[in-house]
Amino acid sequence: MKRVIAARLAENAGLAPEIFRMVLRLPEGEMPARAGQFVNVYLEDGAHLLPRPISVCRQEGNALTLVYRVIGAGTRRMAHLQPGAEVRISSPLGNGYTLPERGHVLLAGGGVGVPPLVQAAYEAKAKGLHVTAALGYRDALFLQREFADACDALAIATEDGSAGFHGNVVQLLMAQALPEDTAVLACGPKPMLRALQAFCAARKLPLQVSLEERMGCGYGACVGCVCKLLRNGAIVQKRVCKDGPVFDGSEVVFE
Amino acid sequence: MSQVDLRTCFAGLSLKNPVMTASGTFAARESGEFYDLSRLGAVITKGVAAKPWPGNPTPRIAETYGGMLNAVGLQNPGAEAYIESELSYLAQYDVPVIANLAGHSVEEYVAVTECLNETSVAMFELNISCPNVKEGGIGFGTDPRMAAQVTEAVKRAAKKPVMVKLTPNVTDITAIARAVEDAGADAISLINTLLGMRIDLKTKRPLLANGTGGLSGPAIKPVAVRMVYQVRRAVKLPILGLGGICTGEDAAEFLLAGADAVAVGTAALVNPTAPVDVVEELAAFMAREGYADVAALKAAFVG
Ligand SMILES: Cc1cc2nc3c(=O)[nH]c(=O)nc-3n(C[C@H](O)[C@H](O)[C@H](O)COP(=O)(O)OP(=O)(O)OC[C@H]3O[C@@H](n4cnc5c(N)ncnc54)[C@H](O)[C@@H]3O)c2cc1C
Ligand SMILES: Cc1cc2nc3c(=O)[nH]c(=O)nc-3n(C[C@H](O)[C@H](O)[C@H](O)COP(=O)(O)O)c2cc1C
Ligand code: FES
Repeated sequence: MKRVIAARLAENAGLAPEIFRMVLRLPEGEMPARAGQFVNVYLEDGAHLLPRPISVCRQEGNALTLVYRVIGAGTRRMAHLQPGAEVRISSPLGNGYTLPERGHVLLAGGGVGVPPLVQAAYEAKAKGLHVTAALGYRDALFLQREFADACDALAIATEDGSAGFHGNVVQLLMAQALPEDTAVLACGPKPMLRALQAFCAARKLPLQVSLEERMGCGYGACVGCVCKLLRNGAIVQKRVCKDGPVFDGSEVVFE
Repeated sequence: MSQVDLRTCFAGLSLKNPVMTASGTFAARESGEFYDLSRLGAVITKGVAAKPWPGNPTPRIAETYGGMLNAVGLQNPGAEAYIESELSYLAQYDVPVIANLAGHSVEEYVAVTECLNETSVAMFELNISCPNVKEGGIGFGTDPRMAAQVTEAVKRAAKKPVMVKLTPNVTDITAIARAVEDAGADAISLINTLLGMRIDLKTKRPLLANGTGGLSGPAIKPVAVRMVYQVRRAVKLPILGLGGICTGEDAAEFLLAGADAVAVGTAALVNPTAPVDVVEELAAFMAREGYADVAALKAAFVG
């Protein structure tokens, strides 16, 4: 069964301005997560009753790493938690990425869409796939060591031009030749995903995107978090938390 | 005290305990991944109409102190899909199913009732109180005459007991309660959400795409307890009390106020196992306080 568990905070430190890495120790025998899945973080105070969905950045044994940006009161509270604290989180939720059996994988990430691609990179590497990452940052870089370790090739773009390509990830990819058997796994802001959708459609590359939406429950009970897909000529609504957060990029309707 | 008897009879249904799920905060497969649904008194499923409804645009959810706003707008796949998917999945559990019915007109309410008459559903809950659907729902729930009219029509069509769910967005809830009692309702549930709104300070726009939404969660509990108390004194019908219940103690408060059973809504979003936790905590509370059964607890109210 899925459950809510009390994990022990082992580490909670800044990686870049407003970006934090939280390492949680899970109880023995706890569920392994797949790349693209997320956990609900329960803050449990009167002002922040709803779960904060945060993607699995990495799971090794009973160590679960989450990397998050402080954008509001809830994530600020998370950043203030001290090592040793108990953090209530859910079992891994959602469907995650599907890795191809062979060939090339391109991981395209932007901002806090970068963290979930760490787990994807390690899983793809373990499968013997050729892994390239194209990562976009506002300014400060983070998680570089992990990608350097897991990927065969790594390209960086920054909006301020302070490192790597000056521009965004899709502009960076425009300048590259990609092998025909490349599967693209993406996570990032909506405008980036929309541009990637057009990019992949033009090159006939399969694309999987991870979406975000405001959540009530985070496990499929409330239908608060729907997105729209165009499937067989008709618009269908799917729950980001349960039917996603990873969807076939060619089907997503970006509004 | 060793054993507490939580068994409850509610409008003709025999329940293991008086705790149910609140409509819209429960889905059979998804909630069933966190706990054994057979441990509940009953489950109330999400609002269903005869034909599919698309619901409102997103964002549909906004957080507030002690609760949340939702404007899901009764998105549902229609009665046929409900029967094939939700109801057939629930058949494996030993738990009565109460179907929450949605409609825009008397005819639509009657249509969904007829669709579900020949199914395993144990009871209907008529939602005349959704604040998130413009022309439907709440229009019926805020006017005693219209509430009576839709109750009567559904009652005439229904082959199962009919519970009518009231909105708190009225000046006198007892007038609506009396109207649906006179119209033949078998039970009353209250409360649905309170109409609310939040504005994003960055964009200066409402946080919800729908503009307004329904407030639920612990913040509304005192309003719900007060309304259960008032309605208990106005009608004889069994009452399902809900609104902000998070713990067994909260449930006990509703029973003391006059509810015969309770439902857990928003708490299940905040904590997926909340409904079964409430069952355990209610039993523990009653054991601690020395009440052998629900009737004994209810009778203890001094007021
Ligand atoms: C599947 C999924 C995976 C995610 N993974 C990550 C991750 O790995 N790292 C990371 O930094 N962020 C991630 N996010 C975004 C993260 O959930 C939000 O930044 C966070 O909930 C904001 O909380 P807050 O209290 O600081 O912000 P506030 O704006 O104060 O939050 C108010 C409410 O809005 C919700 N909310 C606000 N922004 C978002 C958003 N972008 N998406 C969904 N809900 C939001 C909050 O959960 C809360 O209910 C993910 C979101 C989703 C849906
Ligand atoms: C996300 C959400 C969806 C809801 N959907 C329905 C619904 O379909 N039908 C209905 O009668 N009530 C619906 N409700 C109202 C609840 O059943 C309940 O009456 C209300 O939330 C108060 O209880 P609570 O504070 O325990 O959540 C919904 C509430 C929420 C939060
Ligand atoms: S957040 Fe409740 S269904 Fe997705």
